Amino acid sequence: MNKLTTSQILKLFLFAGFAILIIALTKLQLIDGDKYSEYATNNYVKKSRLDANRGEIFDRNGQPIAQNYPAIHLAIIPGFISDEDSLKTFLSQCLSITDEDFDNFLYETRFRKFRENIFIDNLNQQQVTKFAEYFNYFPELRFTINNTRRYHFPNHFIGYIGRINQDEYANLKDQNYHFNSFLGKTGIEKQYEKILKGVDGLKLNLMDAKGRNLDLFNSISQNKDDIYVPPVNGMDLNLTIDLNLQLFIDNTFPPDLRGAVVVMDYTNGEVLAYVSRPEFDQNIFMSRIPTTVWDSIKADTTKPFLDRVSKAVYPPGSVFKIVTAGLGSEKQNINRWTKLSYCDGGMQIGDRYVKCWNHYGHGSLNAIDALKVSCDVFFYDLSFRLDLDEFCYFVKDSMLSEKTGIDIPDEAKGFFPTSKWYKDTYGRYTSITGHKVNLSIGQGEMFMTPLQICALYSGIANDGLWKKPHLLKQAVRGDSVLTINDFIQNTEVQLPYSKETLAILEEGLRKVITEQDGTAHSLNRAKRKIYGKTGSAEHRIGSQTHAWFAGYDKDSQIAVTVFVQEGGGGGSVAAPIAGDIFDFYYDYIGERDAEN
Amino acid sequence: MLKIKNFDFGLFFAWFLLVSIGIIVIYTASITSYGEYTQINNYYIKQLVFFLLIIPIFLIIQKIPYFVIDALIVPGYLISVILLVIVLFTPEINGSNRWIQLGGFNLQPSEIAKIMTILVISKFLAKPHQGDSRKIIIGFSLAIVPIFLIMIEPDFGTTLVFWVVLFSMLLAAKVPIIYLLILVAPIIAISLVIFSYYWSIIFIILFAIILFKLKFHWVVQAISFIANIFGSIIFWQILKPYQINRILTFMDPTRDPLGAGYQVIQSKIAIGSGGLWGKGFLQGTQKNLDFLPEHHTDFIFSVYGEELGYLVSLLLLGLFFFLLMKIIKSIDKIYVLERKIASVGIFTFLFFQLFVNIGMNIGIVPTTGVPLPFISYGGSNLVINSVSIALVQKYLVEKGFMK
Repeated sequence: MNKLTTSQILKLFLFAGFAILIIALTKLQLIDGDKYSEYATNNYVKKSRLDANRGEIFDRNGQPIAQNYPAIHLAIIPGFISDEDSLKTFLSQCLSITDEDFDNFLYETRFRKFRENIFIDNLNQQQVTKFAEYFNYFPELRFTINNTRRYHFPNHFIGYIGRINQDEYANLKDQNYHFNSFLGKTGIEKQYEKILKGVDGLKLNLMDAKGRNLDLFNSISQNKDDIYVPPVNGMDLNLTIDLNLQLFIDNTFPPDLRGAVVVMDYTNGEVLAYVSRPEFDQNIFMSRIPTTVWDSIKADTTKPFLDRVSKAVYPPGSVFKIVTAGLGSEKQNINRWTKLSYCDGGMQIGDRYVKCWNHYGHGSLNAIDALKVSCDVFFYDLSFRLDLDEFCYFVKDSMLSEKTGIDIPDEAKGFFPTSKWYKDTYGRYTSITGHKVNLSIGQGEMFMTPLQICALYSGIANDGLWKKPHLLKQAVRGDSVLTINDFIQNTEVQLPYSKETLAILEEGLRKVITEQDGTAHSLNRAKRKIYGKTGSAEHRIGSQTHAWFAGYDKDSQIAVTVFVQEGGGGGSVAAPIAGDIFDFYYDYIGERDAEN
Repeated sequence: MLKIKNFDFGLFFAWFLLVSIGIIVIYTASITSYGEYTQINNYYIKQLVFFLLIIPIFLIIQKIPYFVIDALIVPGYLISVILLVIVLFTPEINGSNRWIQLGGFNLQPSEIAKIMTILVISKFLAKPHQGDSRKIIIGFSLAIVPIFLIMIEPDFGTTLVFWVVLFSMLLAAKVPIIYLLILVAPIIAISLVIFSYYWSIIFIILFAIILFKLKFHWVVQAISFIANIFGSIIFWQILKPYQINRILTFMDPTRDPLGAGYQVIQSKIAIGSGGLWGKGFLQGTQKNLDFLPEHHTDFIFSVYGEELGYLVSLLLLGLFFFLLMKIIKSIDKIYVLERKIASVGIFTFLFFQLFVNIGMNIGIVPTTGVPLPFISYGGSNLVINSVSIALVQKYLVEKGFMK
């Protein structure tokens, strides 16, 4: 080797390399040229995707919530369209599709003109028969059969899936998504998209223009047969939801009212029921929505799509008073015997007379009795002794102005103002005292989700150990099981409430139920340990108050929060609903335990 | 300073012709039309900007004194390494971090690293009175940093180019070929571990015994042994499944039929159907039906072969052959060892990329992301390839100024 100079070695490689290239090129273009032109003109390689089955969703007892069903979809191969105008007329007559919709579709599919692009999902039997008659005239139309989703009852936590849109496809096309793929758009379907989806498989065939498999792969590819990669199905989910309880609440909640109900197992943060009203049927997203239906949904002022449990915020009203009392106790401003200002139906603050909800007055009360009768004046007076910024931190530490971190996307954060916020909003010289008075009873510039309230009451019930609410119990595929701990971290927070504080709050919450003059005395059950607090939050002059009830049952270890938007008084509207839930669940687990 | 009689016009025009052909092919690759429907991408316009940029760059390189270039080599190498680190923190494009986005253009640091590594290695290899093992250690340690950074982008095609270039440059620096096996050993160990642990262990032990018998310096023995073991362990234990999958796909493209296997089949159909005369400029049916995605970059030869046919493809190969022969000829005319080694490196990286790219287009080489020099779309690629030709030209022009 060393006898050759470097340039001679390089020449050797150069000649050999070019000889190989020229020989291979000659074979490809001259010797096999005709064969390949035939492939090019008559045949094409067809990639068929083998869709992985999307994981199905069940409740904690294995009852189905969302399942897959095979359905017939209409696909169009835009490159085969021969007479666009007649196709447009045909589609507008059969399915009332406007020319604009169709043009949009053509534009979106411009880079995949020779692929089957799904145009309309879930054809019904009539439509299939009607289309089949005319298929001869429109070679560009195809039926494809694959899975669609069916949701067994309307709810807000599952969300729904939809066909991937242009932007999503641009981001996800390298991650095993196809332009016809389904994608979780909201709720659990979106949150656990990765494990629900699975991995699509693939099959490569060389087909001729008529779709016949030519089995020519051997001659072109080094590979043996058709290339085949089997799909890996998605994981099935078991939620913490108890469908029996969920459906019971669905039926119990007054049908014409808006609102939300959350039930949590306070020992571990599992959400047992998650109801937001009014509801909508997610199945409408599984097929083409007629424009008229869509317009009527959008025009609906009750906002059925809004998830009122975790995505909407409201002033919490009196259910918030445990936080004010808790801070007062933590800062040593009050103890269980401290009585504050005399309530004569209100209280004079500077030149203003602020009313209590009860115009007859409550007299001078301690914290426990103030919670029991929900006396506003006690908290007005307490608010003078509290610093607003400390208050704000305390609310944050109580997880009321933080996302709870529930496994549902786009959760609302909640809001509690600081003194800086007031100065920025209302000017430097604004008096914070007046705002503080309002904040102390859970009204004014503060907003929380029903879920946050429920999580706080769970924390109180669980001796100050706050558990992160979650909906996933486990994900299963074959032998592999994932639990919620594989998906979320920091599942507990120690709330800043000392033992003494908790004792005061618990006694107050207990008396709300047990005492004759408690605001939720209607929930009193013999030999049962139910705790709770009502709330009626004023939010807009001239409209009904928001009705709240938050509480827990120490026997069945659940926390319940009921929120009725503009429903009226918490004691008269929200508390009875909670009472029904407590009773149902108590009997339900009693029966369940008796069976075991 | 510029001696016009030493200016190699053959080299210059071959380069100019190739770059011009590149613009024309990218123009046709930018256009897909079917019936009345035509889609034009702006790739050719972007490439034209770089085309207009490289001609002055070529001439400026001839004008500036060599000591300026010489002073820039080490800082340039360091900057290119820094850029390779920065690029790892940019958003992913098509599943890898290869480009830094600057305005409307994407800078590809691995291209800059290619030429800077060649220059810096040749600078240090050419120092007199160095033993063979010292040369190997220098070459290896200068190359391993960019190789490692490019490997985790990941861009295995470019990594491979680095190895081959390093190999050829050490040969040019008169390092015996047996020594070079030490460099290749980790790759062999890694390849073996993919088949079975045992083969890799047997290979590593055997290789260590050979080195011991040949009485190599103990540092060389140790480094080689550690590199072999380390390479195998990293590849099998530390890399994530999808990364291993990428490596396996790189070795066996049919493992990833969604991507590589499909592309090779479509590319072969396109080129094969071109036949003797081709389907005519802008007339490639396979291109127009968009069977081959991204046919303006790595698979641009499929467009060329389909539209222009066998004879014109041979012409292109001939032009490349002429250019590469010119570089070999100039290696004999250059007397400064450093520049000689650099020219060998430049020759190797152009030739290797050409061979691998056309080879994968016609299906005789596994699919690796290596562009066709001067023709494939990509500004960094075009500029760096042209700069390397300009450097060879400069070595010829300034060959009188020996140290």
